[in-house]
Amino acid sequence: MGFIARALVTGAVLLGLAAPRAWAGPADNTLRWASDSEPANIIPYQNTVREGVVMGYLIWDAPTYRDPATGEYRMHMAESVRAVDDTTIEIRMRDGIVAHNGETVDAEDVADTVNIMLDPANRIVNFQRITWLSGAEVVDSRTVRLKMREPYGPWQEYLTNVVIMPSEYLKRVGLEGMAREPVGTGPYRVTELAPGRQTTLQRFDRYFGGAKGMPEIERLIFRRIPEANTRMAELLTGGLDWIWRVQPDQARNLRARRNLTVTSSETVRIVYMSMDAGGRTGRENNPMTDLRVRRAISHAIDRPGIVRNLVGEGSSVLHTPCHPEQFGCTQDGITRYDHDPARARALLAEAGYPNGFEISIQAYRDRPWVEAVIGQLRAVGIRARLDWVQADTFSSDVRDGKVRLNIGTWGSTSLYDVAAITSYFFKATPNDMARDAEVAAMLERGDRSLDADVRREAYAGAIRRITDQAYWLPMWTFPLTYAHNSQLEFQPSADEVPRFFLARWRR
Amino acid sequence: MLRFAAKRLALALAVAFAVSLVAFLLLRVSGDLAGTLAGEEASPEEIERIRTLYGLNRPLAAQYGEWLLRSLSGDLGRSLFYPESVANLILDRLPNTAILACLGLVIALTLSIPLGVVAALRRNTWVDRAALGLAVLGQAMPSFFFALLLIFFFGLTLGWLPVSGTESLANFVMPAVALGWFSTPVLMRLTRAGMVEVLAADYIRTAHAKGLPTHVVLIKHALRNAVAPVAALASVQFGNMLSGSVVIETVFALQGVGYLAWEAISRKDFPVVQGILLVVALFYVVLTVVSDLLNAWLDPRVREG
Repeated sequence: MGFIARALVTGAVLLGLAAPRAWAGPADNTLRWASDSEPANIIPYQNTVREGVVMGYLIWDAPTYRDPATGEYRMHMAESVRAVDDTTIEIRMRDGIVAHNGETVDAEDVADTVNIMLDPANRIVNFQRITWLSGAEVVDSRTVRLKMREPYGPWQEYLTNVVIMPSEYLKRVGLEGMAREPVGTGPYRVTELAPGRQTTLQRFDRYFGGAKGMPEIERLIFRRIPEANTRMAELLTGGLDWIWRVQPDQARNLRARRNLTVTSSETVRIVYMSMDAGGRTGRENNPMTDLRVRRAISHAIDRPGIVRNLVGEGSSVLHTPCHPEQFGCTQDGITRYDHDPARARALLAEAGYPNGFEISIQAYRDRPWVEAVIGQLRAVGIRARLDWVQADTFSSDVRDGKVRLNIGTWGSTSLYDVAAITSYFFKATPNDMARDAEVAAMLERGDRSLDADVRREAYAGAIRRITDQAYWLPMWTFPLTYAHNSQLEFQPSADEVPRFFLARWRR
Repeated sequence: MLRFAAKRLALALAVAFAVSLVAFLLLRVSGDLAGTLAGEEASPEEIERIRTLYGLNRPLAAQYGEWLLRSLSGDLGRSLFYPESVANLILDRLPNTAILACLGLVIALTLSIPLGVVAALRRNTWVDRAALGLAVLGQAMPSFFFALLLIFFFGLTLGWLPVSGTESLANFVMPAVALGWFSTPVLMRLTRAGMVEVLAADYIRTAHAKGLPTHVVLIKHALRNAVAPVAALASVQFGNMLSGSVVIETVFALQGVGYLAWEAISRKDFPVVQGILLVVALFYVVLTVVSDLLNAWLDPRVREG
C-alpha cells in the first residue's frame, strides 16, 4: 500500500469513516430497493409514476386483484363482485379488513373513496383509475354499488386499480394529510416517508391476506437514486438489494458477479411506429396517406435485427397494435410485415417515390433504437430527419395533428385490455392518426359491451384492419432488466409492478 | 457610500425581478404544463381538466401577477406534486446543500491558496507547471465523471465511503471533494496571479530589506493583498455552490436544492422551479451586494468610479 493510500486509510479511520456500514440482505429480513424516480405524492390517485403504482400495491388494496401469473381476476377485498346491469357493479366486501390505524374497512369506505376521488375539488391526477365511474352508494355495511358513466367492457380490469382508503381517517386528515401520513389496508404500512431521502415500509401484521397473501419480508426501504451508475455501485457494495431498469451493458457486467442475479423479462409496454394515414398534417405531398408507402416502411425495418442487437433480452417482435397478453389482442388473421428492403423499394416506386422522399420522424426516448430505424429507412430511400422532443410535446403534437411519422412507447397504464391501447389510439380520439371510421366503430362496440365474446370479436376485426392497412408498425415489446441479491426470491411480472409482498429471502 | 449602497440594492432588486419574470416565461414556453401534469398516458379530456383546475388557461400576465404578489408576502405557493409548500420544500433541502457548499468551499480554498502561492513562488518551474496541469485537469474533466471516479475508487474498490445518501457526514465527503475540485482551478490561478503581482511590488522588497522573516513577508504582506480578489471570487463560487450542484447531487443522490430543482424541472413543477430560482437569485444578489460593498469600503476608487 502506497503512502497516499495509507494516509487516506489513516484519515478515514480517524474520521470514523471506515466504520462498518449497515449491509443489506437477509440478516435483518429487510429489502432495500431503489429506482430512478419516485412519486412526489404517494397517494395512487395523485401520481402517475411507476414507483407510485408499486407503492400503491404495497400500502393499499383494491376490491379485486389480477394474478400476474395466470391473468385471472381474483377476489381480494371483495368477497364477490357482479355486474347488476350494464352500468352497475355490486361489490360484497370481505369481513374483518383492518386498516393500518386499526380502523375497520367496509362498504362505506369503498363508496367514500370513490366519491371523494371523483370530486373535482380534490384535483386527482391519475384519472384513469376512477373516471370510468360516476359514483358509488352503500347498500349495507358490506355491500356497495359502483355506477359506471356508461357501459364499459374492461371494467373488471379497471376495478383492480380502484384502491380503497380508510375513509374515517381520509375525511379527518384530507388528501394532503393522507399523502403526508399514509394509512392503507395493504401488506405494508408506512413508518417513514421522507420524499427524496427514503420511504420505509413495515410488514402489517394484521393484514387480511386476500389474493396477495401474507408478506414474508419484514421491512422494505425505498430510495430514489437517479443516476444508473450510482444505483449499480450501491448494489455492488451491498447498500441495495434490488434495482431495475438496468441497461444492457450494465447487465452484462453484473451477470459476472456470483452473488447477483440478473433477469430480463418482457413487459406489457410496447414500442410502435405511427403514420399519418388520416392525412391530419395535410393530404397534399403526404406519402403517409398512401397504403403502399406505409407497407414499404413496414417492410423496410428489420425489427428482429434491432431486437437482437440493440433492444436485448426480454423483448420480442410485435405484430399487433397491442400486447398479445392483453384481453382482445388477437394474433389470428393479422397481416405481418417481414423485413424485405427490395419489396419496400418496389412499393415505393409503385407509389411514385422511386427515389424515396424526405420526412421528419418524431421521438422522445430510446434514441439508439430510433437511430437504427432511421438508418434502415435511409437504406430504402426514405430520408428521415430526427425531431427529438420532450414526452409532453410528443403527445400534444399528435393530438394537434402535427405529426407525420413518429416512434413511441405505450405501457397501457399496466392494464391488460385492448381498451387501454388500441381504443386509445384508433377510436377517433385526438390521438388517432389513422381516422378510420370502420376501425373506430368496431372498437366502440368492443368497449361498450360487457359480453367477453362480443368484445373479442369486435376487437379482432379492428386489429386485423389496422394491420392490413399498416396504420401502425408495431415494433417490439419493451424489456425490463432487474438485478438483485441472489439470496432474494423474486419473480418479475409483465405489468412492471414488482410484487415485493411475494418476495422472500432464501436462508 | 450610502448612495452607492442604495444604487447597488436597487440594481439587485431589479435583477431579482428580471430573473423571476424570465423564469416564469421560460417555464411557460417550455411545453404544455397541463400535459405534463396529467402524465404521459392521460387522455385529452383529462389534460383539459387539469388546465382549468390549475388556472393554466388564464392570461399569462394574470398568472405572473398573482404569483409575484404572493411571493412578496413570503408565500411561494404549493408544489404541484408534493403535498408541501414550496417554502417548506426548499427549507427542507437547504441544510444538505449548505453543508455541501461549505465543505466544498473549504476544500477548494484549502487546495487552491497553498497551490497558488507555491506556483507563484516557484514560477516557471515544474511545480508551477504541475499546478497549472492540475488546474487544466480540474476544469476540463466533467464533474459527473470525476464524481463517478470517486465512487469507483473510494466507494466500490476501497469501500471506505458510502456511495450515496445523506445519513452521515461521511456521505458528504465525496460530493464535497467533487464540488470543491471543480472550483479549485480558477481560485488557484487567481491566487497565483495576485501573488506574482504583489511579490514584484516595492513594499515587498522593502519588507525583505527591513529584515523581516520570509514567512511573515509572504503571509502578512503579500498573501493578504493577493487574496482580496480571491475572496470576491470565492463569494461568487459560494453562491454557485449554494444554488446546488445538480450534477453532484444527482450522482450522489444527495437531496439538496440542486436535486430538488432538477426534479422540479423534469416534472415541470413550476411553482417549485420559480421558488428555487427566486431563492437562488436572492443568494447571488445578496452575495454580490456584500462583495461590492466590501470592495467599495476597502477601495475608495470603486465607489467613486
